[in-house]
This record gives sequence, C-alpha cells and structure tokens, in this order.
Amino acid sequence: MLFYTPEFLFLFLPITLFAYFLIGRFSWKAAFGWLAFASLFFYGYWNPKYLILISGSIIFNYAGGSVLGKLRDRGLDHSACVVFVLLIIANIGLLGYFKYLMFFAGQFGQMFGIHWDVGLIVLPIGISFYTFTQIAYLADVAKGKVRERSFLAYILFVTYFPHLVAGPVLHHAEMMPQFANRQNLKFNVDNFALGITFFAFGLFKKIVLADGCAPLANGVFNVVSAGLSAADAWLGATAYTLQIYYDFSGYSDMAIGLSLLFNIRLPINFNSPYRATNIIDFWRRWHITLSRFLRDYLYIPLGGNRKGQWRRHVNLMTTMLLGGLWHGANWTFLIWGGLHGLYLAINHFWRSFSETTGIGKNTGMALKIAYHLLTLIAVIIAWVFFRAGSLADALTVLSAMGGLGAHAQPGSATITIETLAFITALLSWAMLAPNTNQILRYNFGAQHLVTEIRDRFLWRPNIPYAMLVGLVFFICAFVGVTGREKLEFLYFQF
Amino acid sequence: MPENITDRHVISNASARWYSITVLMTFLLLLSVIPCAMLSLADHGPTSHTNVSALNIYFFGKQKQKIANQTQGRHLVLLGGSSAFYSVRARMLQAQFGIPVINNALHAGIGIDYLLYRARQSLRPGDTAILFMEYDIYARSEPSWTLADYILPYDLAYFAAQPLTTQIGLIGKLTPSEYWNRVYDVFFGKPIDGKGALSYMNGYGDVKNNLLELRNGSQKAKLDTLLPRKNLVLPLKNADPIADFIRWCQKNGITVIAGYPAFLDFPEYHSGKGQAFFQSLGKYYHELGVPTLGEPSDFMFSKSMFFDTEYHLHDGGAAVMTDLVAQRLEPLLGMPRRKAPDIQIDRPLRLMLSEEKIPEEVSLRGFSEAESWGRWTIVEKASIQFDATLPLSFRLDACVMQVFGNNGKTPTLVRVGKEEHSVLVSAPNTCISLEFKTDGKTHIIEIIPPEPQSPRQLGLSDDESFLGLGFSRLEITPMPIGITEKSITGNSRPIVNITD
Repeated sequence: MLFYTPEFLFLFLPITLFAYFLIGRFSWKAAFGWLAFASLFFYGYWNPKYLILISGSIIFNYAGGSVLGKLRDRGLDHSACVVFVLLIIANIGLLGYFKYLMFFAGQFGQMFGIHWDVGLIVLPIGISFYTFTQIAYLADVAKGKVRERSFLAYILFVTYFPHLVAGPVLHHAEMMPQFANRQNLKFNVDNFALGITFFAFGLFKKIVLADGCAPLANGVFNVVSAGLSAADAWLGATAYTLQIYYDFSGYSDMAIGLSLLFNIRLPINFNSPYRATNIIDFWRRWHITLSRFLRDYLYIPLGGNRKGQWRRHVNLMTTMLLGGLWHGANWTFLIWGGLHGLYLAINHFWRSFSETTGIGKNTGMALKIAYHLLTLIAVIIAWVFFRAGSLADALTVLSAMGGLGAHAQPGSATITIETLAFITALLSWAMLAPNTNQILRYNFGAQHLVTEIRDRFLWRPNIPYAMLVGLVFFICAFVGVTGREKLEFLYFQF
Repeated sequence: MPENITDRHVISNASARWYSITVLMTFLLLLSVIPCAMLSLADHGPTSHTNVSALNIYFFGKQKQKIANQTQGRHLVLLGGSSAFYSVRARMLQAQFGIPVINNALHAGIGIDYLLYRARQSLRPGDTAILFMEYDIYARSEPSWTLADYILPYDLAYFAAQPLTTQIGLIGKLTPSEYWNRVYDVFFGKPIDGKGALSYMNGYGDVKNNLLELRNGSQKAKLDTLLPRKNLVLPLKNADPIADFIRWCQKNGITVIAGYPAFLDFPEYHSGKGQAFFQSLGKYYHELGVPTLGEPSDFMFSKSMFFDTEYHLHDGGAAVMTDLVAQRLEPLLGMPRRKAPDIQIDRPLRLMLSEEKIPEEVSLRGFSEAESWGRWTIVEKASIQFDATLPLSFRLDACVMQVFGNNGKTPTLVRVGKEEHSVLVSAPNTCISLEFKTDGKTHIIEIIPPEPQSPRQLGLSDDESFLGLGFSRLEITPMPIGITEKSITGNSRPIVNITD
C-alpha cells in the first residue's frame, strides 16, 4: 500500500486513525495493539508471506534484547558482549541472505570460475530499515541506554507503519516515551493540522516533482547504449539528482505528517541537502537518520576521529563503503559510497589545510557559490553510479557528461525548453527555497540543524494556507489516482 | 524531550480546527468539479475530443436503442461486441424469419457486464436474445479503459450502480489530460452530430462498411499479422455476468440462445489448451440450460473471409455466417425460413440528391448536405454505397447541375469495381449515361472529379470543402447481360474508356 493510493488514503488511514483514538479512550494497551495490528496489515498488504519474516525478526530481537538486558543487569558484561555479537551476526546474516547472497555468489562464481546457483532471492520490502532499527535497539540495550519490557510496545516501535518500509531509522529512546505518553492517545487538532500540511508537502514532492523527473532520468539511463550527448547525460544525471531528493524527502515528509496525526513525532531526514557548501555539510543534511546511525553505530565504534587523521580517513571510507553497500548489492552502490568516502576525506584534508595555512578560510560570496556548485557537481557525479544499471553504463554516462560521449542516436533522450525549465525550477527550489521543516518549524531529532527563516515564509494555520493545501491534495489525488504509471518510492527497493 | 510543536507554533485549537476543515472542504470542492463536468457532459454528447470508440458506442448504442423502441412485437436481438456487429446480418435474418431482428451488438471493449446491462434495457418479454460474446471477454476480468472512457461521462447511472472499488478502478483508468479534456469540453467542446458514424450502420443495426472494396492497406496488414491467441485458456473468467443475465432473462420471459462469434481459425484451437477452452464454453451454456447454435469451431473461418481483425468478417463472410446462424436457428425458433432474399439490385433505383433523406440501403460518402438542387461532391473521391450488390450489367444515369472551378476542363472518372469511365462534364445542367458490367460482388460507385477546389482557395468564401461536381439525380437501371447502349444528353461529350 503506497501512501498516496486511494485504498490507503480513503480506507486504511481514516479507519486506523479513528479506531486508534476511539480505542485509546478505553485502553492504551488495546490502542497499541490496534496500531501494531494495522501496521502489520499495512506491511502484509504487499506480500503476506513476509509477515512471517518480520514477525520472526521482531520476536528474535525482542528476546535477544531481553537476554542482553538481563545479562547486563547481573553484571555479566562479557556474556552480554558475546550475546550482542551473536545477535548482530544473526541480523546481518538475515540481511546478508536476502540482500547480498545472490551478488556475492555471482562474484564468487566469476572469480573462481564456478557456478554457484543460490536461486532467485526476492528482497522483502523494508528489511534494511527494520533490521537497522533493531540493530540500533540492541546496541542501545548493550550500552545500557534503553530496555524495553513490553513486547507490544516493542512490536509497535519496529512496525509503526509511517516509518516501517523506508525509514526514518529510529532510536528507541526517541520513540518510546512518546508512545508511553497517554496524552498522545487523545486526538490533537493542532498536530492534525500540522500533520496534514506535512503530508500535503510530501505528497506534492513525490507525485508531482519526483515522478515528473522520473521519465527524464529514465529516458537517459535506459538508453545509455544508444549513445548520449553531453547535454542529455547532464539532463539525465540532474533529473535523477532531483528525483531521488524529491522522492525520498517527499516520503519522509509524508511519514512525519502521518505520524503527527497519531501525535507521534518522527525525526527529520532531510534538511535541504543540495544547499550544502561542502560534502561534510551534505551528509548532515541528507538521509540524516541513516547518517547518524552509521556515525553512532559504525564510525564511532571503529574509532571515529580519535585515533588520528589517517585512521579517521580509513574509518570514514569504511563507513561510507558499507553505507553504499547498505543500499544494495551492486558495485555501483559500493562505488557511490566509496566516492562519498573519498569526497569526505578530501573535505577533511582541505579543512585541516585551510585551518593550518589560512588559505580559503575567509571566503567571499563568489567562492561560497563556487563551493556550493562544486559540492553539487560532486554529488551529481556520485548519483550517476547510484542510478546506473551497471558500472559500464555509469562510465558511459560520465564520459558523455565530460564531452567524450558518442553522438546521440535516434531514440535517445532529447532536451526541450519545457524539460529544461522544469529541471531548472526544481533545482532552484531545492537550492534556494526554504525546506518543509523550516516552513513548518519542525526540527524533531535535529534541533541544531534546522535554521529559522523569515516570518513571512512560515506556515500559518489560516484560511488561505488551508485552501492552498486543499488544492495541493486535489492536484496530487488527481495525478496519483489517474493515468500516470504508479511509481513506488525509490527507497522501497533498499 | 524536544519542545512541543504546538507551543512553537502558538496556534489555537480553534484556528487549527478551521484550518483542517478548510483543507478538507477545499479538497472536496475541487474534487466535485470533475463529477459536475461529467454530469454536464452527459447531456452535452460527444465532442471533437471524444475518442472514436466512445463516439461509436454513443451513437450506435443510441440508434440501436431507438430501433428497438420503434419495433413492435416479438424481437430477435443479437448481442455481443463488434464481432456480431460486423459478422451477423440482422437484415438477412429478418428477411428469412419474418420477425423483427435487431443487431444490438456494440463493442467487446466495454466488457460483458456493461454489454448485458445495456441489453437488459432493450429486451422485452417474448424476445429471443442470441449471444455472440467475443472469447476475450471470458479471459478478462477488470473494467477496461474503453468502458471508463465511455461511461465517464455518458452513462453515469451505470457508474453510480457499481461498487466503490469498481468505481475507483474506473476513475483510475483515465489520465489527467483525459479528465481535463472533459472539463474543457463542458465550456468549449463542439458537439458532434454523429451522422458520419451512423452512415456506417443500416436500419437493423448491422455494420455497412465492411466491404472488401473499402478495406485499406493497414487493415489488410493487420489481418495478415494475426497469430493464434494465447490468452484463451481455462479457467473461464468473468462468466458470472452471463449466468446472472440468463437468470434475469428466464425471470422476464426472454429466451436466450448462445451463439459464438465469428473467429479466425488456427490449428491451435483444435487441440490442447485451446480446444479445452472452446469446449468448456459449450459445457458452460449446457449447464445453464441454454441451447447453443453449435460448437465454437463451426463459426471459425479462414482468413479470406475476414475484413480487418480476427472477429470481423467482411460483407461476404457475414453473409455466410448469417446463413449458418439462420440454419441453426430454424429448429430452435421453430419457424421455417423463407427463401433467401435476392440481395442484388434487380430493379431500377433512383436517388434524388436534393432530398434530405436518402433510402436506408444507400450510403453517400463525400457528398455535401442536400441543397435545393442536389448535392456537391466535397472530397477527392465521392462514393455511393449500396447494401445490395450492383447488378451484373447496368446503366448509370446522372444529372450534373453544377460544375465548380476547373472541374469542367478535364474528365471526371466514374468507377464501378474494376471498370472505369472518364467523362468530360464541361458545363452545368448536363446528364450523362454510362454502362457498367460488374462481377456481381460490387457495392460501390465512385466519382472522382478532376480538380476539387475549395471556395476559400479561389477567394470566393470561407468554405473549405473541396467542391467538384454538383449532382441532382442518379439512376441505376439493371440491364440484361449482352445488351449495351451508349447515350448522352445535354451538352457534354463523354469520353468512354474501359480500362479493364
């Protein structure tokens, strides 16, 4: 069930919401149970057989977390450590089976010239997100930060439908107090108003902007073999850069909006990433909850920056390579992660160099714009690997972007004034306009990142704004329900 | 814990409440624009934006309903998609059984449920309904784009009667631009009168333009590329509406007979999965207690009998199919057949082109509306098509009242089948007389003026029609084979070329 399909909007959501608050009047446990049941139904709607997998994963990790907690309580730190490692191996093993086995079997076969047939393994939707959420929980339990005693609450924490299939990746500590707050079981019209506005913003980003970019990106990346001109290659790469941003940030806005209807706040995931002036800044703005997961549970445990410059670069590269691989088993994702690791290393090196020598420290407006554009171009180049079907395709697109491509053949993409205007408008919007969090003054999970904007740009719950949001809903319902091919969220595949 | 959102926004419950209500109301208000446009368009009728399928369903359906309403007593009603429309001749069946027969077949694309929904509206107690449902209908289960395109907006009553999930499915079939066209049409759409579409149908509801002479290259090419259908396999889908319909008929005193559509024959249909599929249809109707006209294979024909698709027979094929249907109907109806009517023109026929109404068995193409003196040819090739075939030998007398522009300077071609005469009509008010011999299968007389020009091209008026010659009268006189006569009246000099 996609967030913008009629069955979700007109059946699932109203029924779930109404019953949640109704049941919540009588019993918070029953309300939790209802929301968990609805979330599992939401998940099972894609393919009921994966309910067994997610249920198994939840039971296993809840039981594992309980054992871990008890061992810590008794001061058996060594045993707790062993159990923790085993639990992590089991989780990574599950993810590895579904996500990486086919890839590694193929690579292994190629390398050693043997045929290792593991059959077709279909990736269950959301497995990366719910596995990471639970790994984070286990790590927090191992550190003694959290402990969940209620199985029902744990089910809800993992399966809560607004974040289940494509994040944000949650910390137990930021969610459970909200679920435990009985005030949140009462319908709150303020949160409802804010929630529907968030949802409308996200819906518009996804259905109108991201899905509008999709044909332009596909029109280039699907005809790579026909030859691309430099302009076509740049158009395709830029269109995908915008598609993935509007798609994923649209999804995140919708998730936040939906969750607000239930009086639960989810952390923000995006903060105008294409406004970043360097790559370090970009990673503070892009997929924030995954970045913080990788930082807290990978980069810092690896040593972070505590063991010198050289180790920091190695740790960064390792984190980014694994971050790339998290998106899927393909060399293209690995190279995307590696490129970002390299960018970050260069960025840290430049920062140290600049601090030592003073060169480039006091920047004027022109240099700031140059940094901005350089960052954007670096990000676009990395997205080419992320989007391309193969390494060869990515290199063909990049060659074309560098002016080394073949002349475009008939059937390859062509640029029109309309597409150019559309892409320019979307890029300008992403780079210059205030983002949803700023307009709606929402900064949950990243208070220090979201800067204030001028008052006149702020959302206000007044009639003109309400009419605008109503119009946005209409446009999205119209486009979403009618003709155009229904595109799933890009991050559903990860 | 982070601060509370509502503290940060400092909004009151009241403003949030009004805000939420306004969002919802605006959304619903805007959403209501589309149904309003649909309701308005339902009265408006098809426009230039209307797709051909919806346009044909609208006009053919309306006309067929009108025919059903006008006829009295017991009817024989042919039901199905375009296969029955093209391949069974109600006109011939009526001539053979002497009771009113209506070809009420429309378009398989609208689906079985809707076809039978419409059929219920035209059937009366005592009628006999003969089903010729296309096989694809049994292999498809969801509502089609063609159905959505037609019923939104031309049959909103049917739409309203559907369950919510079907309604959502139907709404989702159309693209935003298709909805936009509907809203646009409410204000700016130019209504279409349907005369063009209706000129392809006779007064019994049979199609008239499936003559081999009219088949173009792409229609033939389409037929040549057809392969055996792979979707025709068991289990039968979508058969419930048929069972419901049969029960409804039994309840209302209507007899149902199951026929099978004309279908292009392939060896694959006589063995394995194909055979099992076709055989199951017979069993299905047998279990429902419905008599059949035979086996599906009885109605499978070779490619030479077809017009353009695997379901559409050409005129000759339709005659064969209809004769077979009549044969099989005879014992089921308990009525003896009369002698097959002579379907060749066997007596003089006169067309007064100044009259608005022309005989039902004749179709004019490329002629203007009637004026007080007659009609102009308005295209490069005007034609007169007859339901019956032209006589083996006949004389054509034509009176030309007007000659436009340069059309009097070079000869006009008159073609019947493979025979062609060129005639110079140099001045108005000329009558010409030409003799033709045919192979007995030709239905059309073609007139090709030498240089059709529009009054606009000549700077005379804004009229963009390509005028050639203006005819007041056409006469066909059958002649015994072997007798020829050539005559000319008026002041033109015919140049006769027999090209074949």
